[in-house]
Amino acid sequence: MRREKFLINLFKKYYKVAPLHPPTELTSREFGFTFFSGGGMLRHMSFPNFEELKSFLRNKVPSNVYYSTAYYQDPSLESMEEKGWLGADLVFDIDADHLPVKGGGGSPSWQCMSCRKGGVGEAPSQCPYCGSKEVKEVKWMSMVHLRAAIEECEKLVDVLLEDFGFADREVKIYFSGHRGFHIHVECEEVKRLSQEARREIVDYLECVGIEVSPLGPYKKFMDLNSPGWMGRITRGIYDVIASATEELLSSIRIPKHSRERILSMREEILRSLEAHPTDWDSILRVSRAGVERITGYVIEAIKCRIDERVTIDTHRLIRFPYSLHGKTGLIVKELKTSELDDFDPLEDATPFRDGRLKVRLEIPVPKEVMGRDVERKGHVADVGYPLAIYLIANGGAEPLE
Amino acid sequence: MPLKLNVSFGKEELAKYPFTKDALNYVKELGFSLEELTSSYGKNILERAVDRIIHSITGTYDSRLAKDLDVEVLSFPTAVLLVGSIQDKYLARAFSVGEGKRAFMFLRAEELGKVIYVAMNTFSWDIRMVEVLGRCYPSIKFTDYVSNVPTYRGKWKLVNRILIGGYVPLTREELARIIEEGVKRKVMELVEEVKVKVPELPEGVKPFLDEVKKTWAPRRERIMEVLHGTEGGSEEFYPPCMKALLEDAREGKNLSHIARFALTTFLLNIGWKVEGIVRLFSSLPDFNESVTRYQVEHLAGLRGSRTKYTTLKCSNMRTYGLCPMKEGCIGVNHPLQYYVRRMREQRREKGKVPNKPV
Repeated sequence: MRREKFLINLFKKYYKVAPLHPPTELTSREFGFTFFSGGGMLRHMSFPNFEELKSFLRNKVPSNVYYSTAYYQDPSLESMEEKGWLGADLVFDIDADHLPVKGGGGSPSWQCMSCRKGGVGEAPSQCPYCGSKEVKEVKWMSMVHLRAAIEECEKLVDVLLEDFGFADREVKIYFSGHRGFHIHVECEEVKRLSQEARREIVDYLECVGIEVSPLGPYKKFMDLNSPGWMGRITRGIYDVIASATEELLSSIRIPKHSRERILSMREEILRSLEAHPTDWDSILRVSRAGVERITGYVIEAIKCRIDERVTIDTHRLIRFPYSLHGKTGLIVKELKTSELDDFDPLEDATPFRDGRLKVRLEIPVPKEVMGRDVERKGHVADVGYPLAIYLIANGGAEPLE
Repeated sequence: MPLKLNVSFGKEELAKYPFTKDALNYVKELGFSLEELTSSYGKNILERAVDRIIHSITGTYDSRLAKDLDVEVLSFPTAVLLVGSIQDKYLARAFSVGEGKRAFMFLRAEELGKVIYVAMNTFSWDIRMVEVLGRCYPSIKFTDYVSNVPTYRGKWKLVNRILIGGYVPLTREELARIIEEGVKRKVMELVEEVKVKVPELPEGVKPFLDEVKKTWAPRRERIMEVLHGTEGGSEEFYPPCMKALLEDAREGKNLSHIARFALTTFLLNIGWKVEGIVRLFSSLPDFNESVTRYQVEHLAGLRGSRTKYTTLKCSNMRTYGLCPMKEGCIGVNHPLQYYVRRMREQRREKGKVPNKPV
């Protein structure tokens, strides 16, 4: 109860002054909300103007705010058919949860709902103290997870600008408020793209079905200066050869005699790669199998990793820019590519930067959360305000003051 | 670089490419009415129109043009009218495929400028010349590319193309092939726009219509046979995804909502009856006969909006994790297509349908 009141107060304060922007074609968008009191999502909402939306946020203080990437004739109708789909923005979701980083969804901690004991790490299926099966797990973001998402975000934006030719102003990057980023592409030409067309764009980004390889017919387009994946793969191969070590080559399962040939002929290979057109025939003579393995390794490393369902679904709700995330109290904030590198959510995406707060930890919390040490004495932690809000909103702590 | 096209697009071009905006405008200017089709000049047009349709159905289209080029131009909208009035989507598809292929036949012999002109004039595609590694290629905006390529496999798959600044460089022949797909879609749209139904056509047109129907009848019968003649049997021709779902349903495993939707709509489309499907689901853990029956009937178009649903495409099956194949099934993008193909193959083996001569 205390927790709920505390958060509602904070969110209310924020929505009074929040730097919200009206979305393009506000009246054609569907809105959805969840509330601290629970009760599922309130969907199929629409607003005749921006003022009404703002006053809704101030008065109802939702815990999460979503809007449709789609534009509808009548967004307030319940059936998707009757809504009258007019088009949709092209959106991408990068979530650490989907990335190949250990525990991408966050560092877990758990608590037994029966005896209230718990620990840090993955939840056991059964409480080791009392044997109860009612065990709750909570995940905590760490900077390692966020870094992985930032890297993906940079890769994706590069491909969107270079390959797809979108203008800077058409591609907007938003911190999702939790574990990743949402990239919105808003322009007339993508609006009417079908789901299949969007899937084909996803496949391009994720290198699904790629046959580009120095061993295949596309090699004639593979050059250090080539555009698109052809160029990225060639440059990737160059980087691998240039920095190759015995360990790296053996980790990508290149046979011993091939490893030796590649390492001893490194300079020749690099010269062939620098030639225009690339002298693939000479490179393949060094080791066909080696080049094949390296190509696969490079593609794995450079391909984009997104949650494809979000991009393909043309009826998705997505977090409303500059709303607050109900589980973190952080702002769904727009970021420039130049701001990604040093992005620190608890510093850059919080509406409440100043001050400290004492909280009572309700469940075990890892030592480090979002790049901060959770300093504690017994069950009481005295932490910066933004971290305190995250601990409370994520269900790990109660406010003490 | 922006395109400056300097091509002459005369009456012969209008006759070869009667789906272009130029040609459709020309027809409008001629102002030929429905009633005039029964005049002796109109009969020439009707004959040529029937020719077009029959060539599409039988796959025997060629590059001959009627002597009177106006007749040739007018025969296209007339054929669209005839096909549209019959209101058979399979006929419409066969016709549009034939028109597309014929367009490709002409286009591949044209110089690049004219090919680009046809694309821009017909579809308003965004095309420009783009330099890649020192050579200039006609290049098409990726949005137009992904909406019109013949398939998302092999060399057509976007990931296997050069994509630079939003444009996909193509050879002349590839551009012509993409136009063929665009023409198919465009002709399909034109046919769907036809509001006139058979009884509303002038009497004199009916014999021509009958000729079309006569040629179409055996093809239609074959399609219907493949689609509907098989309840219960021939499970060996089901695609792997549906085989797996069917097996799960029989074993009483709990299927997700979307899995039930996919399986039910697939079975309905290949001719299973509502009763059989309800029986199939009776082993599911949360089976409720009346609810299940209501839902299956809804999907069969017997209730509610009366829409008969089709099953999910392969790409969507994949998205929902229902496709068990790592690389999908070769050359198939819809579970029903897999089934129809396998059925057809089997028929060929039995010698009922002769293979196309090679």
